[in-house]
Order: sequence, then structure tokens, then C-alpha cells
Amino acid sequence: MDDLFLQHKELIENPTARVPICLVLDRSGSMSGEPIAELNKGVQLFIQSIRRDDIAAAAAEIAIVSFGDEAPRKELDFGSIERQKVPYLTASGLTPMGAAVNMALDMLELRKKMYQQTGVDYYQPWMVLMTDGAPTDDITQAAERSTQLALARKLTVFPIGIGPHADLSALKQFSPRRDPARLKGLNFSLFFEWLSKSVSAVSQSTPGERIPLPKTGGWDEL
Amino acid sequence: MISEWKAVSAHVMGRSHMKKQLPCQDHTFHITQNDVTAIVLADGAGSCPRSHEGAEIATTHCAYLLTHSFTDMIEKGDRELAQMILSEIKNQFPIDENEKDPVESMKQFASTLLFVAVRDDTYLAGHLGDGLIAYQEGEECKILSYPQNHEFINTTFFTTSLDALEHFQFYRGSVQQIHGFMLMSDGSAESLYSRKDQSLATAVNKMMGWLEKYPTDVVQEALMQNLKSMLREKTMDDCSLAMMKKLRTNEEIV
Repeated sequence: MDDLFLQHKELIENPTARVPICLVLDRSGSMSGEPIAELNKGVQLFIQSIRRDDIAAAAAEIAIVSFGDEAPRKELDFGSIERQKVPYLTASGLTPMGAAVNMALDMLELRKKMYQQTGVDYYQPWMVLMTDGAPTDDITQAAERSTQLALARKLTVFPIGIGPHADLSALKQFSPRRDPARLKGLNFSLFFEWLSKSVSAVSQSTPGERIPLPKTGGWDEL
Repeated sequence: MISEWKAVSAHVMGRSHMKKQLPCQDHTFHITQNDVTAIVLADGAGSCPRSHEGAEIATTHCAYLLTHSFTDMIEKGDRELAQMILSEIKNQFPIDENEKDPVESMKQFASTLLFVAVRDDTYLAGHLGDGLIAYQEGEECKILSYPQNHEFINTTFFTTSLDALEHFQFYRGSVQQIHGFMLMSDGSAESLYSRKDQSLATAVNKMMGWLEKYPTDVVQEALMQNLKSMLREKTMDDCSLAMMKKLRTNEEIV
């Protein structure tokens, strides 16, 4: 009757389904000083929180695109979170938000293709867009791409304004399904803690499940 | 030629539902009646609070239909057959006639649906949603129907989906060369199906062999124990399996 027990070697090891997340972060001149320092701290905390959660760490794949100076910059490409080195962002220059979102969407598309080619299942990608100002480039095309994907439920957008001068109406153009939220003060740490919990919730979801995201814990303004 | 078939099925609550103290949303059913042997499996939709009831209704009523109307069903076209099965299931959902939004209420009972039924030397199989149907030909286990997900892992088709008729897949044929069938939910497929190679684990063949070697009650218990101790450990999801095996034909008996 020993053969009535299955052995591990007789089973398949499938790769964990992934949640690709692209952080699109403002590092324009106006973010100088405390805002960029707090943002950097928040990003560090986000990565650490994910690493501490076994399920989220196996599922989450994070990339970072920053926008400042004249053009967006790929700060961190998708990869295993255990091996990723978190970049330190420095503030300067303009706010090329449209080009940054285009870069982020291109990176997400490429990542999805890689998953498809290697037989890795994946959840709906996330794009977190954070700015303290208004775009200095044309956002029309990027907003249109983002909107189409969000409406087709192929992308979840989290638009976040930082401080009183963040242009929430510009952020809204990228996110037809979720209204922009304004960060309360410089509560980046609370926001990223909430984001890591949300990633954890999604990475444990099953077909047909509506995923209730955790309460914000006070990072947003009412 | 008349075949004799043995069937077993089992479902266990996954680690996620244990943690959240929610019911098991997978349900399985097997039956032999009116010369038809049928195995049926349904996986309730994650966030629908009554999908465990929906899964149970789907399995039992689909099995009832198969054992009572096999001849009629085998001759129907795919769309007509899908309509027949889905109507039978949806008519059983306990929805108040005065419900303000019956379509929305119906969604609470959403589940996937997989089945195989055999009578004489003919089989009929159906598949809506994720999970997988395997069959055994000679000593080899092969895939009859692959998981149907949308682009993303946490999306699939359910009995209550608006496009369910379009996505309900059917298979018909002879069992002369086929010795067994297995249904698995997506939770079990996590351990038994390689998404990269689209191939089956060797465990599938091994489990099919149990029905040949041991009495049904022993296999039933073994299935339950292995779902609990092995398959459930590799996923957060509920796990379920149903399988049937051809023992011998009347020619062999003679």
C-alpha cells in the first residue's frame, strides 16, 4: 500500500505567478530636500516589507522609472526582489511625466511577453505614479495608453499626488478607474507599507476573487 | 461492447480558506447510474460568498443530467449542449423570484465546471473555466482539455459568465483506446500540470493506477489524504480531483 502515497518528485514545481509593479516616481527639482529624502526612505521600506513577506516576495517583481531633468530614467529593471539593489533618487530638472509613463508601460509589456514565453502566470500589472507637480511634456499619448489598458482591466493605476501643488487633474488622465489620492504630508512610509500589504493580498488571490485592498492607514488626505 | 468503470472524487479546503475561515469552494461528484458513469468537478469563484453552494449545485445537477440524458446530450451541438447544462444548473440556484437584480444574484453562485461521462464505448466531456481534463491512453496520460484563463491568472470563465456559452468546450469520442479520465481544479493543477511544458506530472499516471489495483474506498481515502498532505501544501487554493478508470470490457469478462 506504500504506493498510495505520492512523492514530491512525482509532482510539478510551477513558478509562482507574478505581480509586476512599476513605480513611476517624480524626482524633478521641486522634490529637492525632504520630499526626495522621504520618497527614497519609502521606496526602501517598500522593498524591505515585500522581502519580509514570503508569498509577496515570491510574487512581486518591481521596476522603478524616475522622471526629472530632461528625460525619464530606468532606475531599476524587473527582477528577483531578493537580488535587487534599491536606487537612490536625486532631484533635479523638469517633470517629463508623459515620457516616463510611456517608458513604464513599455517595460510592463516587455515583462508580460517574457512571462508568456517562459510559461509564467501573472496577475494584472500595477503602475504607481507619484508626482508633486504638473507634467512639463505632452502626456496625451501616454495618458491614452494608460487609460485604454485600465479600462480593459489590463493595468491597475495608483495615481498619487505629493503636496499641495500636485496636479491631480493631470494624474486623473492616466487613471479612469481610480481617482488620484493626495499623500498626507510626506507620509511615504505609510503609503509604501500599505502598497506592500496590497501586493501581498493580490498575490494570494484566486480566480473570480475581488481583492479588497487594506485600509490606507492614514497616508492619504481625506 | 460494455465497459465497466470505477470512479472516485475528493475535494479539500485550501490554506487560504482555512486561514480566512471560509468554506471550501471546490466540489466534486461521481456517480454510476443508467449505465452512465460520470465524474464532475466545479471550483467556485473566489469572492462570491455563495460560490461553494454554486459548485455543489453545478456538480450534482450536471451529473444528474448526464446520467439521465446522455443519449440526447451526445447528439446535441456544442452551443445547444452548453445551453442545456447551464440552464439546468442556473435553474437550481436558490434565487428569490422577486429579486431586484436576478443576474447579479446569480453571480453569487459562479463556478467553473468540468465533467466526463461514459456510456458503452462513448464518452462526452465538457470544460468551462480553469482546471484541466486528462485521459489515459495505453500507459500514457495526456491532456484532453487545457485550463482556460484570460490573460491573468486570477481571471477565468464561470457558469454565470455572460460569455459562458462561447467558452464551454466539449469533447466526444470512443473509449476503445482510452482507459481513464481525470479532472483537476486549478489548485490541484498547480502540482500536477506544468504550465511551461504543458505536460502532466508522473503522479497522474500513478493515481490512475490505484483504481486498477485497489478497492474504491481505499482509493477514495488515499485521494483525500494526498490532497491534504501533498497537493494542498503547494498552493493556497482549494484542491480537488475526480477520476474514473476502465476496468474491463464485457468481452474480457466473457
